[in-house]
Amino acid sequence: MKDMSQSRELDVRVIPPREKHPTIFATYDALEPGESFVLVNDHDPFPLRYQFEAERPGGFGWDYLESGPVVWRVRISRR
Amino acid sequence: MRLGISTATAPGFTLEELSRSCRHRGLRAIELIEGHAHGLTLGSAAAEARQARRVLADAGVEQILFRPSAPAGAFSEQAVALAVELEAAVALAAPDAFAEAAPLAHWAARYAEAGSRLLLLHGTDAAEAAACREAARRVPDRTIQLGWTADPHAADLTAGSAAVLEAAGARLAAVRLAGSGPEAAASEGRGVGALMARLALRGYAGIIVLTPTSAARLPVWRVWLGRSSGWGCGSKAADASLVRLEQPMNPAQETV
Repeated sequence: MKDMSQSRELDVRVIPPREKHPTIFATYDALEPGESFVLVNDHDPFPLRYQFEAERPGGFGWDYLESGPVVWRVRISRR
Repeated sequence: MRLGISTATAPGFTLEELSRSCRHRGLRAIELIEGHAHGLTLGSAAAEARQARRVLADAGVEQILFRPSAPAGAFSEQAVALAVELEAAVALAAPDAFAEAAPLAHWAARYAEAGSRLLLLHGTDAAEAAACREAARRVPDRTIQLGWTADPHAADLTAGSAAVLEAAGARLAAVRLAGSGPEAAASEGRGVGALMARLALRGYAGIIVLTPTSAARLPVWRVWLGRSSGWGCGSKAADASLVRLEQPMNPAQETV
């Protein structure tokens, strides 16, 4: 499979509010170990990180690529 | 993927107001519809188009679609010239592109010669997307790209998005998404989340262009475009049953 981790972006600004976190987790769960995607949002998604720590403990990576003030971009990887 | 807006969200906005909105919201693409207050038309002078390109680029806009008010306008030297100066793709609906006798290949070649491209818009219909893809495949040099007008209120995207994405293939370069932005809550459970997940997992590098569902919704868009902050993440009320990805993703098998 070609490595598309560099180009995978999930912009959640367009997603209905109650679907945002389920969409992010569905995307994450579809990754193979070692793959990643970039989450794009209009605010700091740090509450999501807490949810990842609770629901996917030890299995994910979280790296800020851009931190506002308009757009936040976080690379979320599956270990 | 790059997020953007259509001027259908604010037909009365000038180019400067549109640029300001793009900057406020971190938008990187725009669909300019001829006849709206931005003022660009097929008859615009080259200098005016170049200036518009600079204004939009300064606001962070990287990709532009231009939609002539009359579909036949896409098949004209004026449209080719405007596309070049704006560094834009010219978009037209697939039925309009196919209605003409046989000019699609001719004009695709003209756009390519000039360094621009055509974009065929299809709906949430896998057969229509496949027809567009086949038409595009018959034209050399990948000069025709595809755009999908996805309206979750007209057709639930939950079941249909996988088939349309498969039919469109790697030529899909734009998704015109209705009912998002300030209207997003009303699109709940209509497959928008699943569509975005599928696009992400395919490594989709095209644009997402937000459009309103109707003119009646324009006031709320006007407010949304004037703000830079979000409208809440909704995490407290998240509902996993709203997002389903039943079909496996296998983008490695994707062909043009």
